[in-house]
Amino acid sequence: MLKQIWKHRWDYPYLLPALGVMGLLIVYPFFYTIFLSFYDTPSSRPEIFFIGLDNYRELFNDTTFQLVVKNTIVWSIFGTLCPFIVGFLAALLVNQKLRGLNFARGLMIVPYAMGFVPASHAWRWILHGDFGVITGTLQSLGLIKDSIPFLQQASLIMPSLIMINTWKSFPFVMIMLYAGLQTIPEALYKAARIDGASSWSQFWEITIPQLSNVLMVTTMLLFIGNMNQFTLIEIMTGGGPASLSEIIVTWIYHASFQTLRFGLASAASVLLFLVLIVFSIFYVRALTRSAVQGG
Amino acid sequence: MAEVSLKNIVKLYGDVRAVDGVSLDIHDKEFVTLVGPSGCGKTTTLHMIAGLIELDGGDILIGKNNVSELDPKDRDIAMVFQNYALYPHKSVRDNLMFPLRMRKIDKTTAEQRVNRASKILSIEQLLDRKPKQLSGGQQQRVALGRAIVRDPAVFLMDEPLSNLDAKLRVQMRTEIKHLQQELQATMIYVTHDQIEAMTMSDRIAVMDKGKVQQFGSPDELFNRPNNVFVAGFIGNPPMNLIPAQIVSEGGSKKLRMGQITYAPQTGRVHDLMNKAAGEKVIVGLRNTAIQMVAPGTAGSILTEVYTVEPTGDVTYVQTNIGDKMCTISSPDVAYRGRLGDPLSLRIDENRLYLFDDLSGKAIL
Ligand SMILES: Nc1ncnc2c1ncn2[C@@H]1O[C@H](COP(=O)(O)OP(=O)(O)OP(=O)(O)O)[C@@H](O)[C@H]1O
Ligand SMILES: [Mg+2]
Repeated sequence: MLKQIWKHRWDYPYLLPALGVMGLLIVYPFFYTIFLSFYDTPSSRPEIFFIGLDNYRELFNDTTFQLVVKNTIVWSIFGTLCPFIVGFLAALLVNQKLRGLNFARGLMIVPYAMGFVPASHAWRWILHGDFGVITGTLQSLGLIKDSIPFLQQASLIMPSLIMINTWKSFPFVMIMLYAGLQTIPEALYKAARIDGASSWSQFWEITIPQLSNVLMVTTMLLFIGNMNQFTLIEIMTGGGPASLSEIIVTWIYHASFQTLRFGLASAASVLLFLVLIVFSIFYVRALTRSAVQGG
Repeated sequence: MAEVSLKNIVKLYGDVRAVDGVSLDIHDKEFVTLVGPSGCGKTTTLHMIAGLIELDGGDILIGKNNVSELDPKDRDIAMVFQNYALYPHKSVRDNLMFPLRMRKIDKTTAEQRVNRASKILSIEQLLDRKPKQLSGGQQQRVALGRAIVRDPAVFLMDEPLSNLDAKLRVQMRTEIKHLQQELQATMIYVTHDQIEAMTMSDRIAVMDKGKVQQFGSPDELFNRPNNVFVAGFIGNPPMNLIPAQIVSEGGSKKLRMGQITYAPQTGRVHDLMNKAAGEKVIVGLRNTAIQMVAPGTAGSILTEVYTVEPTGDVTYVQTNIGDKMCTISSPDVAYRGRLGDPLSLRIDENRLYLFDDLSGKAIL
């Protein structure tokens, strides 16, 4: 090991520029955020004051932040589960050898190919309570009388956002799982048919175990992506009304750049980081274990 | 236990006639091999028998039942795939259990059967491993095990030895043959290796271009090939096939092979030549049907050495006969002729074949 390092000693300087950029953009902000989370940063004054764990204490006692945590949990669980189920079904569908599926395959990728910003703006107008296409259509068909305030009414906000996330993210799941399905050798299914397995058994005995790694990676990426989903929520609702759709990342943004409470926002960032790192470790371990076992 | 009948089965892929009217009657407990060059339709035929591919025509009977429309699982067959197709995420034990579990066989019986199969194949110590942790030969045995646990009426095997090294292949050849006799099962075995076919089979079906060219015992195929294709395919080294013309010279018929005009000595070849429809024929001679003789021997033909190939117990000599490179075996293993050395060859006319040049059919 040491010998190896010594042998390559003249190679390391070439890494310096890249390491420098990474240090500047990742390592420095990372430690600075941890540092700030222990300080009060009054917006009216240039100085900052060490306050120990007060920021963390405030977060735990803040009822709004409790609501935000609850929203984040709902959002990341259902915002992962729904696209996952839809995407998995879509992958199974496009994996069939049927005519016309190439076109369907292409069509289904459209939401994924669209940027989050235009997609979010479009949906905000589609769901708009007064001018939205959905309300308008239903009204002109005479199916409803009052408008439906998808993004205003407490019981509809999170489901609406999760629905849009499903529309936006299911193609990602579909592509990943479709690629995974393609790698399963056809011969396994042939062998299973001869061994007497029904389609249902083939799915559970071959497809699922063969896909397990891809399923895990996809879920993890989707989950972490959702935890960090700032664009969609910020554009659609801005976290409102009354923090009903606020999740931790949007809350951090608002706390930093609207109320200018950098110390408090940093403390929330640190907490979010800890949660994400726990998930990542859990998944990486599961992944390497199944790789060793030969999944 | 069961006989298998293929009645004129057909499979089309667009314009390709992958299997073009194959009919075979395979007896109970018989070891039958489908052999032929790549793309001749062996795998397709086997998959049709298994029920993995639908028929475009014809019928398949197993036992007395027409199974043409049945699911693979209802045909009482087991199959070993070329790449084994073991379930990678299951242990060896679970691989063997799988067909029994899918058929809802109770656990104790299933375990007994798995134990018996693993004993027969000596894979008892591998039961808890995953397929990835096995060598090619061991995977091969597990694949065989998964086929035999169910006691099927018919075994189908698609080039099960092609992924093994030469030595292991010879060993497994013997074992599979032995296994088939021990289990008293009907076996349909696919290979492109004619030696494998010759050594293992009761009968061989030689296929080409989706059709069965000849179906018979290894002896029959070797000694009485129906046509040029079979003659050239069966036997190692392959039969020498020399284009020739029947000519009349001085009132008697002779064979002209390139520069050489050969006057047959025996009535048998004269009779053959009389039956030849056209003038153009193909002369078929096995390497052992051409003998090296002392210079000047009556009735011998003269050629030159092209190369000499010693293999240890036989020495092959390559030489041009009538513009066709032919292989003959030297009677003297130590013979080491050089390029251009003169050769006197005598043809064993009892073992000379004539084939029609156009149709390739043997002239009887
Ligand atoms: N799914 C398919 N679609 C189209 N053509 C096919 C398909 N499967 C096989 N064929 C064609 O059918 C013919 C027979 O194929 P098959 O696999 O039976 O050959 P084989 O005798 O098993 O050859 P090999 O020794 O290479 O395995 C080939 O010409 C092949 O190209
Ligand atoms: Mg094949």
